Amino acid sequence: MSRIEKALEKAIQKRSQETLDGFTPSAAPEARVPAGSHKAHLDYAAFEQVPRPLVNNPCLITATQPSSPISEQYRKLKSLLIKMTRSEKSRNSVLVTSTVGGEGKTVTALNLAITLAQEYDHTVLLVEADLRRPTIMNYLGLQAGIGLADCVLDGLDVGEALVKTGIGKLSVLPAGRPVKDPVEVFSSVRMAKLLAEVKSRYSDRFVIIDSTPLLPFAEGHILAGLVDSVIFVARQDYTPFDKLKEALASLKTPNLLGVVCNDIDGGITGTGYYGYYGYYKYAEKGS
Amino acid sequence: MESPLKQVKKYLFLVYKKRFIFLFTSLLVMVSIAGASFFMTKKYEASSTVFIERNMIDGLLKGITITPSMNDRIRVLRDYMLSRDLISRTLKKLDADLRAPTPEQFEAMINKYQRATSIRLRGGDLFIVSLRDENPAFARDFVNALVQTYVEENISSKREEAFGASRFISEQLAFFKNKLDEAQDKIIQFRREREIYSTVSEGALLGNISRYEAEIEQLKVQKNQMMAGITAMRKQLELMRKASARNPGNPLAASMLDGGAAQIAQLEARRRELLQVYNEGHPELVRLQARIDAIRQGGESPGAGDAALAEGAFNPSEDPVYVDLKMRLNMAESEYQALDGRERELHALVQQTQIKLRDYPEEKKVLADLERERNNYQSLYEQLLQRQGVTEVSKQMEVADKTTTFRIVDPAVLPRTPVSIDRLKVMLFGVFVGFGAGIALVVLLELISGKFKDVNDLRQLGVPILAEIPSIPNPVLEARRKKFNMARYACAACGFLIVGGFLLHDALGLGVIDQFIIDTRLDQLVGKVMSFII
Repeated sequence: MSRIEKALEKAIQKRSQETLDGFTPSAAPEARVPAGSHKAHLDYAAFEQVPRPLVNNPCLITATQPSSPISEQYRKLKSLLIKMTRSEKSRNSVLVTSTVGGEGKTVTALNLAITLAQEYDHTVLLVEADLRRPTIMNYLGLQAGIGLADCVLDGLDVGEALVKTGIGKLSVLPAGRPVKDPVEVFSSVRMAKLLAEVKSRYSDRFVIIDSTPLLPFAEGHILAGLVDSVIFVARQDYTPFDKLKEALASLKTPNLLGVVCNDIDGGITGTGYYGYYGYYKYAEKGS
Repeated sequence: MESPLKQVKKYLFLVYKKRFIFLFTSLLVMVSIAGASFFMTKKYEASSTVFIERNMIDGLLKGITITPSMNDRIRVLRDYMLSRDLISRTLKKLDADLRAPTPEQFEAMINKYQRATSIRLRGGDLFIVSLRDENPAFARDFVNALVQTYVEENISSKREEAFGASRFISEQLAFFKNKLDEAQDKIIQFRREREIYSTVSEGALLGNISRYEAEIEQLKVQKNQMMAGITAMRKQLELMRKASARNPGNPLAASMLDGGAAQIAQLEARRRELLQVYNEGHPELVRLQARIDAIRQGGESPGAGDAALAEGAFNPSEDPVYVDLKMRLNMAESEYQALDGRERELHALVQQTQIKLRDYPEEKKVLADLERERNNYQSLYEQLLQRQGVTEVSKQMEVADKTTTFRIVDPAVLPRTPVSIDRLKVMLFGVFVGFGAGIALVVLLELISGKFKDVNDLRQLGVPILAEIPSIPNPVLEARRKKFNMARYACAACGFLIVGGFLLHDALGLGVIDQFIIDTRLDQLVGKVMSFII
C-alpha cells in the first residue's frame, strides 16, 4: 500500500469517527465524497462522477439561482478576472481577502469559484486558507476532513485532501486540522511549495484562496506575496472606511486586481440591478 | 455637489434603512413629552390693562405749562415696573415675603416674579401687565397690586415733581432777589462814594471842568467890577463924612455957624416931623427936646466954628444919603463875599472833577463789573419770575389731575382656566420634535459611523472596482427578520397609539388621565422625584 493510500484510509477513518462522535454535516450528505471511491478519483479527472450536490445555502446564489442578477454580477467578476489573468500565463492564483471579518470573503470566493467552475474551460480549486475560522465546507454542506494544514504540516499530498464538490469542476482544499499558530503554517517553505505545485499542475486551473482578513491577522499579507492576484472585498455600510484605506495601503503587492463591493443597496428608488429583474424572470421561464 | 432632490432621497433612504432607530427614537421623545405634559405645573394668567390717558387740557396748555414727561415714563415703563424695588414692594404689600423667610429666598422670589411678569405695550395708549403663576388668586392680586402701586406712585411723583419744581423756583426766586438787591445796593453805594451817576462819562467830566472854569472867569470879572464899585462907594462915604461939617445943609454945621438959632430951628423942624407920627414920649422926641433945650440955655456953644468938633459930632444915621450909600456898600461887600465863596467852591469842584477824571477807568471797570453782576441776577430773577408763573399753572394742573394719567380700564380678575401650557400643543410639538429627533439621530449615526458608504469613495482612492454585488437575499433570515420587524412595527404602532390616545384625550378634553394622576398622587411623586433630581 502506497503512502497515499494509507493517508486516504486514515482520512476516511477520521471522518467516520467524527461522524460517530456526533458531527453532522449540514447539508447534502449525498454530495460527500464516497470513501470507497477515493482511489478512483485521484487523477482529478472524474468530476462528472460526483453527483451535483443539493446546495441550499442561499449565499451561494451562483449555484442556487444562476439566473439572478446577483449571479450576473459574479459572472461579470469572473469575466474580468479571466480577462485580467489571461494576458499572462500561469497567473491563475487569486487571493480573496478583506479588511476585517464578516465582509463576505468566503461567499465571494465561493460564488466566484462556482461561476468559474460552471464553465467548461476551467477547473477551479478553492483553498480554504482561513485556518482560524473555516466555513467553506459548511457553506457547501460538505464535511471537513484533512486539508491544507495537514498537507503543510504532515507533508500530505494535496490530492489526498481535495474534496470534489460536484459543482462543475470545483474542488475544495479544506482548512484541515486546527492549528495553534496559522502564521507559522503560511510562512513555511512548504506552504510556498504547495501553492506553486497546486497552481502549476494544470494550466487551465484557477486557484482561489480564501484568506483571513488583513488587518487583524498576518496570514493575508503572507499569502498576498505568494499569489498572482489579490481581490479585495469591502462591504458597504459595514467596513470602516479608514480601516479599509489602511488595509489597502498595507497591501504592499502590485498584484491587487481591485475591490469587490459587497452588500450594495439598490437605493430607495429600487433602481439598480433589480431594475432588470424582469429580464431574468423571462430567461428563467424560457429555460 | 449633489442636487437637493438627490440629497433628500439619500436622507429618506437613510431613514428607511434605519427605520426602527428612527421610529423608536421618535416614539421615545413623543411619549416622553406627551407624558411629561401631564405633569407640567398648571399656571394661571392674570392680566390688567391700563390706559394712558392724555387730557385735552394738556394739549391746550402746551407751551404754557410744563408737565412731567409721560413719554419718558412710558419708555422706561417696562423696566421700572419690573424693577427689583417695585416687585419687592408689591410682594411685601401682598405679604408674600412671609413665604420667604431668608433674604436669599426672597431674592429668588423677586427674580421669579420678575421673569414671570409680562408687560406689553399696545400702541402708545395701552399697556397690559400679566403674570403667570400656579396660584390664580395670587396672580390676580399681584397684578392688581403692581399696577396700583405703579399708578399711585406715578401720580404722586408727578405731583411731587410739580410741587417740588414750584418750591424750588420760589426758593431760587427769593435767593436771586436778595442777590439782585445786594448788587443794586453795591452799585448805588459805589456811585455814591465815587459820585458816579448814570450820566457820568469822561466827556461829561471834561465838560464840567470847562464849565466850572468859565464860571470862575465870569465870577472874577464880576468880582472886579464889584470891587471897583465898593472902592468908589467907600471913597464917597469918606468924602461925605468930611464934607458934612461944611455943608450948610448939615444942621450941626448950621447951628455952629448961626449961633445956635438955626440948629434949634432945624431941631424943631425935625421935632415937628416926628410929632406927626409919635407922641412926645418917644425917645427920639425926648432926645431932640433935650438938645434944643441945651442949645437954648446956652450950654452949648456951636458958634465956635470948630469944624473938627462938628465933624466929630457927625451922626451918619441921621444922613439918609450917607445911610443909603452905606447900605449899598454893605450889600456890595456881601455880594463880593458870595462871589468869592462861589469861586472857591468852583475851584474845589474843578479839582475834584480832575481827580475823578484821573481815576475814571478803574472805577468805570468796577462799576461795569457790578452792573454786569446786577444784570445777571436781574436776568435770572426775571426768568425765574416767568417760570414761577408756569410752575404755578403746572402745579395747579397736577393738583387737579388735569394732565396725563393712567387709568386702569381692566383690572385683573381671578383666572379660571390654566393658560401656561396648552397640552395639546405641547403634545403636537412633541410629535414634531420626536420625528425631528429620530431623523437627527439617524443622520448623526450615519455621520459618525465612518463606515464605507459609497463606491465612488473607493474609486477616488484610485482602486479599481471589480464588481458591485448587491445584498444576497437569505429567505430564512429574511423570514426571521420579517417576523422580528413585524414585532417591532407592532411595538411602534402601540407607541403611536399611545401618543394618539394622549392627543385624542386632550382634544376631547376628557381629563381622565388627569384624574388618574390626581387619584394615584402620581403628580406628587413626580414632583418629589424632580425636586430630588434638580
